[in-house]
This record gives sequence, C-alpha cells and structure tokens, in this order.
Amino acid sequence: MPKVVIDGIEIEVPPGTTILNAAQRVGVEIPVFCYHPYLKPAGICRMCLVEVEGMPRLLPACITEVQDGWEIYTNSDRVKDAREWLLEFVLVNHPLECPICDEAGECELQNFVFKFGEPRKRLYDEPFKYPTRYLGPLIVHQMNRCVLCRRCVRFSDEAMGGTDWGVYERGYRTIVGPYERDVFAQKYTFNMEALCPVGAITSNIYRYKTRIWKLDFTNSVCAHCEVGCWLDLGERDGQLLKVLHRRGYPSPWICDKGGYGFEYVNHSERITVPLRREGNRLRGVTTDEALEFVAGRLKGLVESGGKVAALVSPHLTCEDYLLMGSFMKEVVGSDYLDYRLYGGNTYPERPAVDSLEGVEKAEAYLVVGEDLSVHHPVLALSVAKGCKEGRASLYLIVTGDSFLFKFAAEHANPLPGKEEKVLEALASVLGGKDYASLLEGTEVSEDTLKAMAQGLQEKKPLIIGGSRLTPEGRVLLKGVGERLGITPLFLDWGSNSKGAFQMGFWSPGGESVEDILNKCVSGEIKGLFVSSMDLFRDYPNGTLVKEALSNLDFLVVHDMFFTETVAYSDCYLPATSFAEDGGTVVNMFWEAKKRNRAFKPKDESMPLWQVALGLSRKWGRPLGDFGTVEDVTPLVRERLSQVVEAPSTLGGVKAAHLKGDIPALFEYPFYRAGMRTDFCNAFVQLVPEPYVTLNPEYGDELGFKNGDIVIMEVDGNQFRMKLFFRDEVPRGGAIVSRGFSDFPITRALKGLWYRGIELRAAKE
Amino acid sequence: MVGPLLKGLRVTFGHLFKPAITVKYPYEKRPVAERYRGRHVLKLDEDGREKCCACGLCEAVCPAGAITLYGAEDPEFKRSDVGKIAEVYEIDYSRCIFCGYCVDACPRGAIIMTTDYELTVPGPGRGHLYKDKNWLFEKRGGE
Repeated sequence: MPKVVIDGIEIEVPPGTTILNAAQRVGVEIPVFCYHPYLKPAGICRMCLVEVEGMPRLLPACITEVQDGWEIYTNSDRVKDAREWLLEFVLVNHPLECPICDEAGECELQNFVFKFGEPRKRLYDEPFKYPTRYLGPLIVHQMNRCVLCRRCVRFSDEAMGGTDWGVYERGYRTIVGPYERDVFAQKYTFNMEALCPVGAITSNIYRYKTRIWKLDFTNSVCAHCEVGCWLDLGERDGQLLKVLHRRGYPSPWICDKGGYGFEYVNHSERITVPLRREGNRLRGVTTDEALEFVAGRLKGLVESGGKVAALVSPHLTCEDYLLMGSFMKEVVGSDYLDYRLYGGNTYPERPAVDSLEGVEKAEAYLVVGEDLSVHHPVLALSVAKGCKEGRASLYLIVTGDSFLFKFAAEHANPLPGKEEKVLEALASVLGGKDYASLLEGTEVSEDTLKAMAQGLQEKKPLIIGGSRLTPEGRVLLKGVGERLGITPLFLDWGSNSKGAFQMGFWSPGGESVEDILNKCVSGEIKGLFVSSMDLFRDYPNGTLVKEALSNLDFLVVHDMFFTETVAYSDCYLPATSFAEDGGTVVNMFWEAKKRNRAFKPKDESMPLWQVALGLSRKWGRPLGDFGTVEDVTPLVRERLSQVVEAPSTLGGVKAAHLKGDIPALFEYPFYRAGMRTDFCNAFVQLVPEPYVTLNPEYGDELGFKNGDIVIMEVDGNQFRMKLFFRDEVPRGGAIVSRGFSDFPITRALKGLWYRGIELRAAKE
Repeated sequence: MVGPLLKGLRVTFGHLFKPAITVKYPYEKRPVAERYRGRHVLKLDEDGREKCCACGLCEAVCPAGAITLYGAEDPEFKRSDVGKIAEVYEIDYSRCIFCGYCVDACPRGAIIMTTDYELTVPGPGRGHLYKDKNWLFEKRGGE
C-alpha cells in the first residue's frame, strides 16, 4: 500500500488511487472541472494540477496514480500560480454575464475564481460570440460559457452509448454540441445539464425564472416510475421550479421524466376547488359540502343494494392506498378496488436482486416484454452500463426497443403481440424441444434464438420481465428462469404498484379493472371512485370506459385537472401533486422510501388519504384520528412487513384482436409515459400528437415516406396521424404511440395494448 | 406666582414674532438633501429598454426582505439588451427600511433611489404599499 503525504498529512491508500481521490480522503480540496466521480477520469481541464516533490512539472491530480513516498503539495506557490493562470485563460473567452446566467450560485467556475483566482483580466480582446442554441424545450446550449471540460460529451458516450453530442473543431476554436439535431431530447438529457459545471447547458424550463439561492430544496422521491430516484425539489412561493438529483444513489443518473416532468404541479389549468354536478354544470362547492355529498350518495347507493368500486392510480403513496382501502373495505363494504389502470393483469412479485448495483453486477441480461428505457429508464442505463463496458451480454425479446437494442448481443424483435410466443420458443430451445413451429409469424429467426439460448446457458443471466407480460408470459419466463436456475425480476407499471399491492388495494376476488368496468356496464356496480388517473388516456379500451362511466349512477373523480373522466363525474375533488404531500413509496426492489412535503397543498387540494378520512367521518364511521401523513406511516410500515398472497390471475387475459393488415403495438413515447405528462408543457411540445412508426424497409414496401400523413383504421374508426420510420420497429409490424388525453387513441383498443390496424395514405 | 407665569408667557409671545420652522405641507415642501433615500425607480436605458436583468442581487441583499423578483426571458431583445427581464418586481414599502443596499448591489445601475418621500396611501390596510413593476417605472415629480 503506497504511503503518501498530502499537504503534510500522511495517508496510506490502496494502489491505483489517484492523487485526487487520496486528497479527498484526507479532506484536502483540489479544484476540478472535468473530473466527475461517476465518469471515467479524462485529465482535460488542467484545473487539478498539483506539485509533487522531485517532479519537474506539475501533475494533473485526477489521472495521476500515487506512488509510494510521494510528497504532494496542493497549495504551494507554483500550484497557486498555475490555477490563477488557468482561470485567467478560461475567462478570456468566458462572458461576464453571471447576473443573467442561470448557473450563478451553483457555478463551479464562479466558485473557483472566488477561491483560487486573481481578480484581474489582462487580455481585453473581443471574446468568441457563438449564438445561443435552443435545443428544444428541454435544454439551451450557450457555447460562449463552455469551459471545454467535456463532461457532457463523456456522459453521452459512456452512459448513453453515444448520441450525436460531440466535440467539433480544434484548439481554441473547439465547440461542443449536437452535430445535426435542432432538438436535443434524448431521455437522459437532464444529466448533461446537471453535469455542466458552468452555465453552458441550462434548463429551458427553469430558464431565467428565479435564482438558485431563492429555492428551498426538499428531499423527495420521483413519482414517474418505480425505480424511485431521490429528487431534491426546489420550491419557491408554492411553486415547484427546479428539480435536482444530488445523490449517487440508487443511480448517479436520472431520466428526463424525473428531471423535467414536474411542470404539471404549477400548471395554470389545475382545478383546486371541489366541484359538484348540477344538471349540465359542475359548480364549485366547499370541501365540507363536497365530502358530505359524496359520503351521502355513496351511503344511499350501498343501502339500496348497489355496489361501489374504487379505481386508483398506481402513482400514489402507501398511506393513500391504506386509508382508501380501509374506507372501501370496512366502511363502504366494497370488494372492488384496483390500481392497475394501465390494463395489466399481474400482481407484483418479490425480486431476485435488491438494488441497481446488483443489476449492474450481472454477467448477462435477458429482457422480455418491455422497452425498459420508457418505463424504467434508469434501470435501462444500469443494464446498458455492463454491456457498454463489454462485461455483460444482453439478450432482448422486446418489440421495438428504442434504447437497449444498440447494446444487445441478440435482439429478437418479434411482431407486436408475439413476444410470448418467442419466449415459449426460447423455453423449448432450452428444454431441447422442437421450436420451429412456435416461431412462425413472429419475424424472429431460428439462429437468433439459438444464439440467445447458447449465450444464456454460458453466463448466468439476470432475467427481467417487463410490465407488458401477461400472467401466462410470467409463468413462461419463470419456467425459463427455472431451467437456468434464476428467479426473474418482474417490473410493474406505475411508481408505487408494489405499495398498492402490499397495502391490499386489490379485489379479494382477483377481479381485474376490465371485470370492474364490465360490472359497471351490467349495472352491478353503481358508484365509482376514480383517483388521479384519466381512464380514457390510460385504460386500453376507450369504448368500454365510456360505456361504463355513462352507465354509472354516481362517479367521483379525485384529480388535478379537468380530464375526460372528470367530464363524466358527478363530483370532482381536487388532488395534490407528489410535491405537496409526504408519504411512503415502494420501489421496484421492494424498498420503502419516504417522500417529503415540499410545500403546502394548493387551495382546497387534498391527498387521497385525507379524502378517505373525510369521507369516513361524514359517513359516521371515522377511520381514526390522523392529523398528518406521518401519523399514518407507522400503520404502513407494519403492513409492509407482512407477506401478502396474490390471487391467481391466469386465464384472465382475452386473446388480442390482431385482425387487420398490420399488427400494431400501442406504446408510450418516452416523454408521454409517466404521471400526468399531458400537463408538462415541455413534453407536450416534444411529442405534440400521436404518430405511427414503421420499419423503413417495410414502409418503403407499403409505399409510404417518412413524415407522411396516414390514416389508421381500426374497426371502421379512422385516426389521422403522422408516420415515421424507425429502425427499431420490427418488419411487418407497427408501433403506435399512446398516452394522449386529448386524442382518443384508446378507442381503437380492446383491453390489450395490441391491435391489428390498417394504414392508408391520407388524401391531401 | 405671577412671576413664573409671566416668564412662561414671555417665551410663548417671543415665538410669535420669530420666523416659523414648520412649512405648510403639502402646499409648501422642505428642501431635501441631494442623496436622500426615498422611493425607488427602475431605470430604462437610452433605447427605452429595461436595465434590470433580474439577477436577484437586490432581492438577496435586502435586509428587510421587501423585494420579490421573478425573471423571464426576452428572446427577441425588445425589452432588454441582454435578453432577460424582471417579470415580477415588487417592493413592499411596508417593509422597506430605505437602507439603499439594493442600489449598491445592482450591477447595472438599474435601480436608484429618488428624493420622493411621499408614499402615503389611502385607506386602511397595507395593500397599497405593495408596489409593482409598473409603479416603479413611473416617473413622478421632476425626475
């Protein structure tokens, strides 16, 4: 173990440690620009030069490995001089616009100049003036301010596996940025903004709104998917203005949904007062009146023999599920509750790994039935990491994977709806059975599958079952896992599905959402409570939803916006966003995390647990005396430690209707997946309308061109959409985007996210 | 007993014939020192664009917390020469202590204090003392 002395402090470090890491251990500060703990060291910026006794030159601390007996000085006159010079050189072209720059206050250059620089500028030449580039609604790139540390370029290369963000030109003319794109939104763009030590890449959403020192940051958990990244919510005057990700855990990176998908919290269309239907109008009432009205009507329905059901979004907290579940089961006496509003029919299962680090350690991956980068983006980065470094190989059985297919050793890209057939074939290959017949009509070659089976047997893989899998698919995947001796990791949709399941927010009879909606149509269920989700946007059967909602006697909707579901309601209760109330959420590894309240709920908004509490009081059978969400948390913790048995859901899924010319998968575009993304202005600008994607070759065959307007026909319903060519779409199939509350795309579906469609060119 | 009374009356009557130190406000006003710190004015530059670039330093330095400031972008540079303007600029005169730190902190000389001290507002309540950006841009008196 080498022993070194840093500024008079002796330390013994493991061999291979850099000077910078050794200095960090003893608490000596060395300024850095290009070094970042989660990127590979590059030694570009020269900010970290230090003096080593006996060495003729100063050495860069971030890439020099220490050797035994070195005496290192980080504060000698030579080092100080070098730093002053370097900062002066950087400032030659750096504009003096700190009053305007959004980075001011958290800018590393600003801090270093204050700390290590000399307040002088000797070269009064006209600095470079590059134009400001507005790269879409997410980021703004100002090359003037760049210090050429290349953290963004390295992130793009190392973590995202390469985008067209790069370094161009040379020497002092070097510029950084995208080569040909005008809109840069690559799912993980937020990290590039966060990595930038200066204000060269700044957020377009936060642009010029306020200053960083005016924000109060509260620790919270992201509400978009079940990876559950920690976020720091920056609030000012009851507005959520900026989100930071300051922890290296669970992953040092987050996705754009977490970083930029918070605009709905401050949206101007938000309704924050309860509304009650009077004839054709919804009139504003007080919370007390609204709760009394709802409780009275529900009581009336129950007493007259009608049933009441509750459908709740999978994005809420455990406290919400616990109290709402108790209210429905104990007070109302209902057996129909569900959170799987996305149309899935599976219940969560215990995972095989317990952290993202565990995922990163695997030698091989088998991913089935989900575009990971859409529904679990950070998990996709972890999977990609090993593959990028060449440690692991990746096998995909996913229709139209948009991110991981670049890293895949073998990519079986079956036609929409055929993923499980291919999975069955894989199980047969592993079992040494005949599989050729199973592959018919899937567009997957036998060679691919053979290579995949061989690869899986050589290395111990981590099996990831996506949220698109049906219960039958899960059984198949477990079979494959058994053959290889592994328990799969099953993913669910929504940020707290596991919590909802654990809190018992499901029908004891195992009814799915489809069954509940069918019961609404048949008239068995007369009252329905919907919370925080637009059924027309997310439930894959718009016709059934419409029929069910118009057949109800009484519909209560607890939401933040006037969605189409609210238009059918008899009473509307305003909901809070994830920033306005605390609570417990359970992530994909069954880890309970605490979300904190960043600011108080707007106007009359209430979290679901308070609604349940208020309703139970008005009913006359109060659930208990809870003042804040912290009072409910002990009950949640108790429930989380219990083992919950799920009812069997096998046979619950009807076969997909794949009649029509082209089998199509209806999948969220990345910027439309997650919670209430319809109300995030930046995301709406990025993906303003639904579109159809085809494989370029197949599109040519059909006679379409990239960017054409086409008419998609399903069951005689016609949808006018744009058509794009994408390489990841399987030949012979199509991928249609979903997740638009203002476009009735779910009317084309029949309970599953697959459907046969017909395409023809629109007449001009 | 009469003696002290006469002594007091002498002072009273003495003042009757001296010049008055009060003025007939508001018809007459006292001269104000040149560097008097009265109400604030936000400045415009020669082209009539706002000088304030919403850097937030006045807001940060204000010891009374009287300034509220939110910025906005001006991509066409019509209202500002640097493309950034104050969308909200409010001074709460019920809190302002007229210390002048905001003027010192301003890097662009966008906010100045004038000799205008007439901030009386009508009616009860302090709402009228909450002054917005339009009011702060207004010219009053002989400025």
